[in-house]
Amino acid sequence: MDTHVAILDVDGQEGMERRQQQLVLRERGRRIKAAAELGLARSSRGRQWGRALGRRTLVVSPEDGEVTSSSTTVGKRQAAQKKATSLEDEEEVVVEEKVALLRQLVPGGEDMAVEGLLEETADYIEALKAQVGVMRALACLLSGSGLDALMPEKAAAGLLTPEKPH
Amino acid sequence: MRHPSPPQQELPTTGGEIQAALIPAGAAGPAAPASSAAGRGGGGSGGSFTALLGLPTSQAMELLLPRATGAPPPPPAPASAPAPAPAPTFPSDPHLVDRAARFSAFASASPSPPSPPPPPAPPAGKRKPDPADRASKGKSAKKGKTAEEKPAGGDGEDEKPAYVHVRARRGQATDSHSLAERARREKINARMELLKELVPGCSKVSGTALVLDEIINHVQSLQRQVEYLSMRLAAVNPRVDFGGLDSFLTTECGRIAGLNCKNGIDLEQVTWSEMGVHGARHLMQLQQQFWHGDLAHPHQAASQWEKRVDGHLPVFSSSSPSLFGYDLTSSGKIACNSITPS
Repeated sequence: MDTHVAILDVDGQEGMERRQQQLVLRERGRRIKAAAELGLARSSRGRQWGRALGRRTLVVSPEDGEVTSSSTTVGKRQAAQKKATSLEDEEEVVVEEKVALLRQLVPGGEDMAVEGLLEETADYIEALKAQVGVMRALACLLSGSGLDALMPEKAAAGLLTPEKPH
Repeated sequence: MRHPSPPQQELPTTGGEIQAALIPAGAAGPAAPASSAAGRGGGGSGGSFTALLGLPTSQAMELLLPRATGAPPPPPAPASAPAPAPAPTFPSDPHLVDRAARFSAFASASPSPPSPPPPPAPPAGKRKPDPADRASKGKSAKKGKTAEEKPAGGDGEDEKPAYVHVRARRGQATDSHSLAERARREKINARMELLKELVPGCSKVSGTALVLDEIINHVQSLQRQVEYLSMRLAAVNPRVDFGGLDSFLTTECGRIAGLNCKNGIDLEQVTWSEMGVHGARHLMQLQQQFWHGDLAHPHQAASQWEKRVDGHLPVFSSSSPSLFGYDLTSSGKIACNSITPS
C-alpha cells in the first residue's frame, strides 16, 4: 500500500511539473510566433497585409492569443447569401464564401477589394513560404540532432518526429 | 498619369507616318540617324528630330537598330541603355533620353538627343495605338475609362502602356458598366493566374471556386506550419542566445534571405549554402553554449528569455529586413564572439 501511495505521489509531482512546463512551453511558443509574425510583417516591405499583421500582433498581447472575428464572419456570410438570392447564381455564392474565407486568412483582408486581396494573397504566400523555410532550418540546426538542414526532405522527416526537451 | 506635353519645337510638315503619330502623342525622343547626329551633335535637338521625321519608319529602324545595342524596351524607370561605341559624339545620357521619351518633353536644353533611345519599333508601335485609342476615347467619352490599369486589350505591340485597352468583342454590350465589369473580370483573372502559379498543384484545376479552395488550403497549411515550427523552436533549449544570431541574420544571411524572398528563390537551398563557414561556425558556437551552459538553472534561463523578448517585441529593428522580429542587440552575459561577415 505504501509503495502505491508513494508512486502516486511521485506521479502527482511530476504531473504538476509537466503541466507547468507545458504552460511555459506554450507561452514561449506564442512569443516566438509573435516575433515571427513581426518579422514577417517587417519583411513585407510595406504591403497592406504586412502593416495589418504588424498592427494586429502589437495590439493584441501575446498572452491573450489572437482575436478571431467570428461575428463578422457570420455577418459577411449572411450578406453574401442575401446578395446571392438577389443574383440567383449559386456559383457566385460559393465563390463569395471562399473569398470571405480568404479575407479572414490574409491579415488586413477585410477592407480590401477582391483584386487587391488576390494580389496581397500572392505576396503573403511567398512571404509565408520564406518564413517557414527559415524557421524550419533554424529548428533543425538548433535542435542539435545533426539533421542536415540543407536537405528539405530530411528536414521534413525531422518535423514529423518532434523532439522533447530534456 | 503621364500626359504628353506638346512638342517644343516646330515640326516640319513632311507628311510622315511618324510625324502624324508623333504630333498628337507629343514629341517623344527619337534618335537621330548617325551621320546627321554626328554632324549636328548637340547643336540642335530640333535638327536631329526633323531629320528623323523625314525618314520612313523602316529606314529609321535600320539606322537606329545597330546603334541601340542592347537597349531594353522602354520601361517606366529609366533604362540603362549603353551608349554605342562607334559614335563618339554621342553624349551618352540614355537615362535622360529615356525619360524624355517617356514624358515626351524632348530635352531641348540638354545636348543629349543623338544618344541611343529605346529601339524605335516598340516606341513607334506604341505611339500609334496610343493616339488611336485616345481618339477612340474622345469619341466614346461615355466609356469613362481613363484610369491607368493593366493592359487588357489585344494590342500585341504594347509593352507597358499606361492605358487599359478594353476592346468590345463581337456581340458584347459596350456600355460603360459592362466594360468596367469586363475589365475588372480580366484583372481578377490575371491575378488568379498568378496565384495558380504560386500554389502547387493548382494548374490543373479549373474554375474559380476550386482554385480558391486550393489557395485557401495552402495558406492555412503554411500558417499551421508556422505555428508548429514556433512551438518546436520553443522546445529548443532556451539557454541559446539569439542575440548574436539576430545580428548574424540581419547582416549577412538576413539580407540574402530578404533578397531571395523577393526573387522567389527557395530560401533553404540558397541561404544556408551561402552561410558558408561563418554560419556554421556561429551555430556551432551557439550549440556549444547550451552544452556548456548550466542546465541546473532552467528557470533563470527561462525568465531571462522572457524578459528579453518582452522588452524588445514592440521594437522594429531599423536594419535590413530580418525574418525574425527580435531586436536583441545586447548579447547579455553570454559571451558570443562577434563574427565578422566577410
